Amino acid sequence: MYTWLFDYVKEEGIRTIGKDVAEYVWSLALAPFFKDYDLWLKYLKEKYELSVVKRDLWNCLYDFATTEVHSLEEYDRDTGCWPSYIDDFIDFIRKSQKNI
Amino acid sequence: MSKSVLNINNAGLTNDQAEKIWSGLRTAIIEIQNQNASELRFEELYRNSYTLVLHKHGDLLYNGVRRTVAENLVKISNEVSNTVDGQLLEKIVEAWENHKIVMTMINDVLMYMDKTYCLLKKKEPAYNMGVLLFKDHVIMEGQVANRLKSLLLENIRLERTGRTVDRILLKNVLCMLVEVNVRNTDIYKAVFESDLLSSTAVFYQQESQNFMAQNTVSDYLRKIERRIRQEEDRALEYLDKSTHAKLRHVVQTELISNYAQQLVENKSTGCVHMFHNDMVGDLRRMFVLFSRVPGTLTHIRSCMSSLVKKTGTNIVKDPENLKHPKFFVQKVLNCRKKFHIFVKRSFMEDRSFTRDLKDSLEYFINLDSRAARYLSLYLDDMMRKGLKGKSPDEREKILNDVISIFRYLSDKDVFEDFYKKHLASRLLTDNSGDREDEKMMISKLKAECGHQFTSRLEGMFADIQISSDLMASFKNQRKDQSNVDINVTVLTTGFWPVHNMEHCTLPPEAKKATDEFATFYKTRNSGRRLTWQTQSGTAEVLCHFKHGNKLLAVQTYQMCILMLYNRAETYTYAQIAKLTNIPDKELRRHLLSLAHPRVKVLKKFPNKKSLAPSHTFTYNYGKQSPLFRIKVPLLKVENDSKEIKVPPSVEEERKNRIEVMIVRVMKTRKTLDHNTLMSEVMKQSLRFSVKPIFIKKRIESLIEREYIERDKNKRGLYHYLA
Repeated sequence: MYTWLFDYVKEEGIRTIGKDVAEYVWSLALAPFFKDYDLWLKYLKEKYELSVVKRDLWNCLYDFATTEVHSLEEYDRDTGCWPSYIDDFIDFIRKSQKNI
Repeated sequence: MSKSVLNINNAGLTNDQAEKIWSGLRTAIIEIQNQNASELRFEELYRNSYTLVLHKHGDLLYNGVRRTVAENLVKISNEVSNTVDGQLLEKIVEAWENHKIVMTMINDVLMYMDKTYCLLKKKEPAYNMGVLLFKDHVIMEGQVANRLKSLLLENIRLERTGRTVDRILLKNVLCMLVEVNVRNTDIYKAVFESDLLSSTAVFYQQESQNFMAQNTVSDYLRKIERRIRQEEDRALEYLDKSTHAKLRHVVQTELISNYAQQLVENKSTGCVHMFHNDMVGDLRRMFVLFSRVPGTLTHIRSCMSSLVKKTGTNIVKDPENLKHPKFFVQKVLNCRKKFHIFVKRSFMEDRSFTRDLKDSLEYFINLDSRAARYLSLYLDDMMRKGLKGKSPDEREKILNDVISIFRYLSDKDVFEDFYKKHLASRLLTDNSGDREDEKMMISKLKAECGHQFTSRLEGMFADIQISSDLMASFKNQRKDQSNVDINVTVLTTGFWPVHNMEHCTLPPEAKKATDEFATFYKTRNSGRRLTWQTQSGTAEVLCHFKHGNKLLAVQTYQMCILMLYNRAETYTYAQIAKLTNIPDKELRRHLLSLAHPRVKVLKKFPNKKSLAPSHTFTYNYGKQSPLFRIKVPLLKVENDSKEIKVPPSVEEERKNRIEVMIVRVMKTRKTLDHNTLMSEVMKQSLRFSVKPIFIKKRIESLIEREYIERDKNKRGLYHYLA
């Protein structure tokens, strides 16, 4: 259902959806069981530089939200095969944790 | 009548009879010990001892012999103990040699006992027994052992300080110590060896300390060499074989190991000094000496590495390089040559040294893209001017030098980018020469990197050739002679570096000529599109001045500007911009160069370097010059020091290449996991060094464009999408 949402929401002829649209749908579809959703929002606002969300990121985010145990030591950059923006997201969390 | 008789009857011997026989033997032994053996008869003695043993009187015989020998030795021991130090060594050797002779004779007499009685009762055979007794009674008696020890060590100490000693005597004493314990060298070790080793250590410790404080490293190395040779010599000449390795180890530890790092890092005369002053021999000596001790060569190696890296980094960062790229290349080559000599002649082409040198050279050459740039500038300089007048061998050598530095570049595509730009410029502006050197360079690059690297470059050459043929037939065909003379080079897009410049408005005279050519070309090659590259190209403009006509050699844009003055005398900057449509940045420098005080074709008002739309430019009708043909130089572009990073065109190129590689791999394998894909791509990327994150982003881009997809269940698995 979640992956279908991407196609439902996106416009004809374009392969991506706008960031604000994505945020909105995520708040409905993902937030209930995405533990670090607030951090993710923060990341989107402060660090994520694109104005669109690509399908690959959309799809993988679901996996990330549900299966990933958010212990930073376990996250493996090289073999985890997460999209690079999720790597970025983890870096973002680590940095902000250091500053706290 | 005191001679015994062999009893054939085999009826045992009584104790009295045995005692009698023994007594005879005892006398004989004493005679032997007193050097009076000539009167004795060997077979008789042998027979007697045989008899005793046969009739079970072996104990009597054995113990008797033992006692007799011991008694004699006590006497000898006193003599030895009472000898003064100066003669002790000779005395004891003398006593020992005599004793051995005595024991040999006794041994001959008692052979039967050795073979039967001794074996049975597990007792030492006669000779050994005698030797051991010597040990107990003479050597280990009283202070003898200690005195021997100090005498021996003192002799060695004297010899080390340069005095001569009696080596044969020392050898004999040491042999005695070895032999005297029969089955092992414990006495030798206890009386001599362990103290030798410790005193050697102390001796060299002191000597080193004193010497190091006052001498150069080279001198110290020579000293070590000498000392090691001496000790080897000593060991061979008179020390027991078992000591050789141990002594060598002590000497090497004290002289080399303990000081290795200090020697290398010594600020005034250490390795850095030696490298700077080309002290090949001294470094070689150091290498050979350090090779004996594991773990010390690394000091030399790391000194060399950091020196090369430091020197190299300074070479790369030198700001003079931009003005004189030749110096850069020369310096790098010199650095490389210098250290190659060291590796070859001082370090005997040791593999670790060779590898470390290569790594260090690669390190500074690849600090940033500057090295690639300077190398290309050097080549440009050579091709334009530097190679002229040199012999073919010299030319080839210069090109080979460039290739040898090229090999160390890890981002070869950056060099390629610079090289292409410079080559394009050379091909388009300089029509002289047969370009043999250029072609030689390209074939060398092809040999290094494969034909893919040079295929586009060769295309550039082809274009030039085709264009010149084209021009020949164009000129023949020309009907309308009223148009200006035009010389066109047609470039195939894709071979040549890209310029994204907007087109300016050509003056009508020029436009007529270009149109004529365009028509001509279309008849030959329909279906091709021509785009005029107005940002390059030159023109010769005949200008009318009060004091005579002049021919100005100018760039295309300058020509466009000048042609405006056919219709008016003055224009504002804003007007010129509008009429010519030249991009602003280029317009500035082309315009200002015409108004430059050294050129003065146009008069600028106000006469300042700054430019505002209202500033005016007036044709300088009164211009004078001694020359007819004037070359108008163009102001140089401000140097982009941002060129330390990889140029954007190369960056783009890399993205494409990686994507092509990924698609190619995926097409063959159809399905592949992330790690294998990464390693395959990294293996194939020979032209430049690539980071994993870069590849990952490319993969994601390809997923987005639906060339590959992720597996539905396994995130790390990719499928090729046809």
